[in-house]
Amino acid sequence: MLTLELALAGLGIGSIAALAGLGLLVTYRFTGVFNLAFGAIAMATAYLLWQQVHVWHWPIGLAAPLDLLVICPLFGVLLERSVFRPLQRRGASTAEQLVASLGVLIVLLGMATVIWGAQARLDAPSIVPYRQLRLSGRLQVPLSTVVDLGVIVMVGLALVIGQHTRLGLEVRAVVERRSLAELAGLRVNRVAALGWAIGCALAGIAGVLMAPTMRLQPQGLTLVMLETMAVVVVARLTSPLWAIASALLIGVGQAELTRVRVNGSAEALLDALKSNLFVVVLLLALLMLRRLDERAAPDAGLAARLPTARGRVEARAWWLLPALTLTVPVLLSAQDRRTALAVPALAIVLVSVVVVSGYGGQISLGQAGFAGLGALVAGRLAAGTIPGLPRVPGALVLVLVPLLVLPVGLLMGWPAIRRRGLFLALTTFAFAVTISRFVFDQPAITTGVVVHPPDAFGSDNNFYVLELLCLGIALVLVHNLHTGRLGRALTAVRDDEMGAQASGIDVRFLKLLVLAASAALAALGGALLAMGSRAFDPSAFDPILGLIWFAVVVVFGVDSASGAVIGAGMLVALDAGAPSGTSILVIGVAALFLGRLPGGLVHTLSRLVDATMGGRVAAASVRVPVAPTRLTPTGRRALARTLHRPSSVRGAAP
Amino acid sequence: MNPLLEAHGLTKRIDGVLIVDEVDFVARAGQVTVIVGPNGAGKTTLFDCLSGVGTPDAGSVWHRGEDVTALPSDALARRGLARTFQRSSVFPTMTVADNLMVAAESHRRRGLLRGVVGMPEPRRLRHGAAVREVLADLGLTPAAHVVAGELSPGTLHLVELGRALCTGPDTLLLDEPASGLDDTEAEHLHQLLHRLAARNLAVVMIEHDLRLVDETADVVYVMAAGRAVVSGSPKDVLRRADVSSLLFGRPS
Amino acid sequence: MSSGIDLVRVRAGYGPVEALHGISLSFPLGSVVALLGRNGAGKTSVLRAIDGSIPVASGHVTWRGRDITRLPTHERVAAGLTVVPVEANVFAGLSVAENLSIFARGASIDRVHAVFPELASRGAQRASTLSGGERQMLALAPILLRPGAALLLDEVTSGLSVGAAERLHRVIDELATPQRVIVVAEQYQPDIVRRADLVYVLSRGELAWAGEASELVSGPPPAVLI
Repeated sequence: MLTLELALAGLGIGSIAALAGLGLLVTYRFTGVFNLAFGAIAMATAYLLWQQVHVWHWPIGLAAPLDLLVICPLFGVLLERSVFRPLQRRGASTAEQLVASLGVLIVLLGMATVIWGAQARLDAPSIVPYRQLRLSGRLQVPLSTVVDLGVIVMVGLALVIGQHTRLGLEVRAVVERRSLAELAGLRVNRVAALGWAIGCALAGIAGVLMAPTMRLQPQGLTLVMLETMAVVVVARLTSPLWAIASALLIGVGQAELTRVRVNGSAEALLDALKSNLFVVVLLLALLMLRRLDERAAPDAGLAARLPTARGRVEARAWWLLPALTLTVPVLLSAQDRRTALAVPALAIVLVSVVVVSGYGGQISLGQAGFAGLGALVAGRLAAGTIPGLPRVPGALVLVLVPLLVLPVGLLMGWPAIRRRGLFLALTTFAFAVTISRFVFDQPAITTGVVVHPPDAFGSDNNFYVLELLCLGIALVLVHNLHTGRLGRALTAVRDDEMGAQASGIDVRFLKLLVLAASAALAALGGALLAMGSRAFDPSAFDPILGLIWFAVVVVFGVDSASGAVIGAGMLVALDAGAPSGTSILVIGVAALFLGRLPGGLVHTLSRLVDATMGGRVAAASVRVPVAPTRLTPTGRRALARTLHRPSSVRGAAP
Repeated sequence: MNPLLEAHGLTKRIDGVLIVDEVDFVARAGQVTVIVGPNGAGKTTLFDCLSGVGTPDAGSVWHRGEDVTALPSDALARRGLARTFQRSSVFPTMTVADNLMVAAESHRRRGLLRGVVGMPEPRRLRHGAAVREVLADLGLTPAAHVVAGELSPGTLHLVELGRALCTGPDTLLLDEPASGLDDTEAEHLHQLLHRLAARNLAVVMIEHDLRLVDETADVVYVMAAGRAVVSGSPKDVLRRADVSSLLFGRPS
Repeated sequence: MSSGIDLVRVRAGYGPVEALHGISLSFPLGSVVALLGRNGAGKTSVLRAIDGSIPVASGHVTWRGRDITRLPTHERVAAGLTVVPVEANVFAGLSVAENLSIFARGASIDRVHAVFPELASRGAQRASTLSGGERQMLALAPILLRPGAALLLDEVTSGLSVGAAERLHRVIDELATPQRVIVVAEQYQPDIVRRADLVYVLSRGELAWAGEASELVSGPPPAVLI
């Protein structure tokens, strides 16, 4: 009996995951965007309903339909118009659309925290009355689970049927290739807006149904998307049936696991497994499933390519700005200088994103995992608490850390490089989450780990110099990676994978190299970060931070190392000088405008400078004067109607 | 003459549709072998199977007497089997010279990491001269420092050919190399292909323009509906009534 | 010759890059007009300025006397423009049948199968798995299914076998009626040029030569073409 009861409880969890996963899947199918903000929209809707019912005392029968049928869809239309339409019109990459949706997440999360506070509330209004349905004997199931399941079946059916309707086909055509759909006479703006309206309405429904069974809290509900990603990946981003089935199965599995008990050291691991089954399934699915590809994504091949300055090398002058960023701390007070210690360290981490994503053309959202591992390894190396390794003195730690984390990068990279685009991004993210839950959150591994700067560099001034040295070496290595034979090969892989392979380049090897190199760099940065703050703090390497770091790099220019340094300076400065959360909010807002910043801030800025300083010259050099138009009599007659007579026209003998 | 590239019973399905159906194929050193056939006959898919871009569902590919069926295209390129694509796969953000340089450098993997720590390439591994020679051969020297994304489709095909040549191949698979070229350019291209064959390369290409095929080919394969229906010298093959109705008429 | 598509001093381009520098062209109804020039000469940009997929910075585009410069693309299509772009011209992730259904908007797709029987057996296949030539046939479906009064064709014979290209030329001949204007952009395609009533040669975003096809074919071709 116990098993059945647990299974029913698991069905409750599973149905929530299925609901959210299905919503995410539908949004992706309808908009072509893997909407990281799905959870945030769900959260905001649940809060809105709470506000209406508990503060404004509206009847829930009025408020819920208003929110779900009017406000959520309108919000979707607004998102499409202002954020995603500009991106899709210029054929933006998967990475940019991911970052834009991350911007929506950040802004919604920030607003919710400001308006409603970060504390959890237990009184989320429920549109389903609380009742237990008796099945037989002692077996009961809450009405809400039944309603959830009903909604799931309806949405799943609607999706399956909808795909075969004319509208469903038009939606797919617009998602697939917006410009051609327009030429085929479809009203693409209307279709895309409809997709977003439906997606957001589903997010709202998921939020309102989920909130009463969970706690109402900005972070908590937003991060439900973590769990639901697993379901969507198992469904290969296409099959609603698989999404529902896997969600229910994982839910039941998670519930059944609570009965399993072990003793000894495996206990902590099992506990972690019990509460993180979704994450484990996500990682396993990403690493092991065969034939994962982005069917519904707009032109997968192109979308995997990140926007960069075509063939442009950053001008030397641009390095003035990052140099300035790194000089400022020297002028600061001792207190502020301590804060500024984070700048070069963070810069190294961000440069690691530039390496993998800007130069290597692969989206990695998992750098927080490698950075955290770097910090942890540094602490334990210095203390001599890594089994099999002696206590390592001083600066040698900084040499060993990247070397020790590099194999971890290889280990993750080996299966991961089969994936591309969105699936690779999710794999790296799932990896970071797994590391965070199974390593950083394990007291046995992280308790009591202290990280100190090497003895000779104990003072803040000396440590800052050491950091600059590390950053300098990292930048030189990265520069070499970007130029010469290796750089050419990498650019080739980024530009055209098939062409690169046909030219004899071992694409897998290069991708692996880039992933591993960037893991090592991130580890170095993470170690320095921890040394600067003299502690290993798991929350400093939260997977969500990895997402934000990626957003920073894309916003500043994904292939711009100088942009990464400036970005690090800005993040640290805002964190120190402005109310907490401001820095992230700034990045979030900037991400919303990515549609208007092709190539990122640094490239947009440098184009602006070009345009104002040497703009006319540049334009003139593009426009080489051509020979005067030659018109034969027929040509002259044909053009007579177009009012205009070119001043330089002269007749030509036929 | 010595067969450089051989295939036996190659079969390939895509999404369940039979695209290449038990094709036997031989390309010999010193010969230009041309594959003709209506659209959708499976010519490019055959190329994919031969060049390691896609693995065949059945059959085997032999290069210089060794079974290379399972090798990926980069390994094949390094052992001397190079190919070009119908839809350009040139690296659009790189200059023409760099496009070729990538291929010239990649035929050995060693020494790739030296650059990271700032060590220069050993002199014997520098490829500038080889690249310049190929550029000159193709008449691309004036465009050497143009970013490839700005070139016309015809020129892109030449760059693609140049890239294949820079891998130091003994076997060349060219997918419609003359498309996008005007008559004079196409003429030059075919003269070049003859010179390459004279250097004992096996040149294989897909071509629609039958006048060029007639002038250039030593051996012609005619493909239709996934099968290699006829092969032989152009004189014999192209005059056959069934072949010309296949190439010009409406497919039944 | 009655008024078809007219471009008047059109400046247009991609973001900061200007591709057309104040060009004026006329495409009268009842004619086949060839738009020649090397890559980057502005042929595709002219077509895209007409169909509205790049914004016109200054100047006017008119269609049968009506100013369509600011009209959204789908309304231009509704007004009679039918476009076959040079690349990204099929929905690669959709099946052939679904592609045809999008292009047909309710019309019967028999006509496509009559001209390109190669596609008949490919209905269930994803367009991305088609060969280059078959893809091009699929891309041509709009002019077979719902030919408007203006056809804008960008390098449409590329990848087609000789036989298929000939069938396409016959289709173009049939479609060349007095009520219609056909614009074909090509690098240089003798078969197309021979069919043209009027030839424009573009160079670097400006008009370099305008005249009759016979004048182009008989005399030495303008330097900008070589």
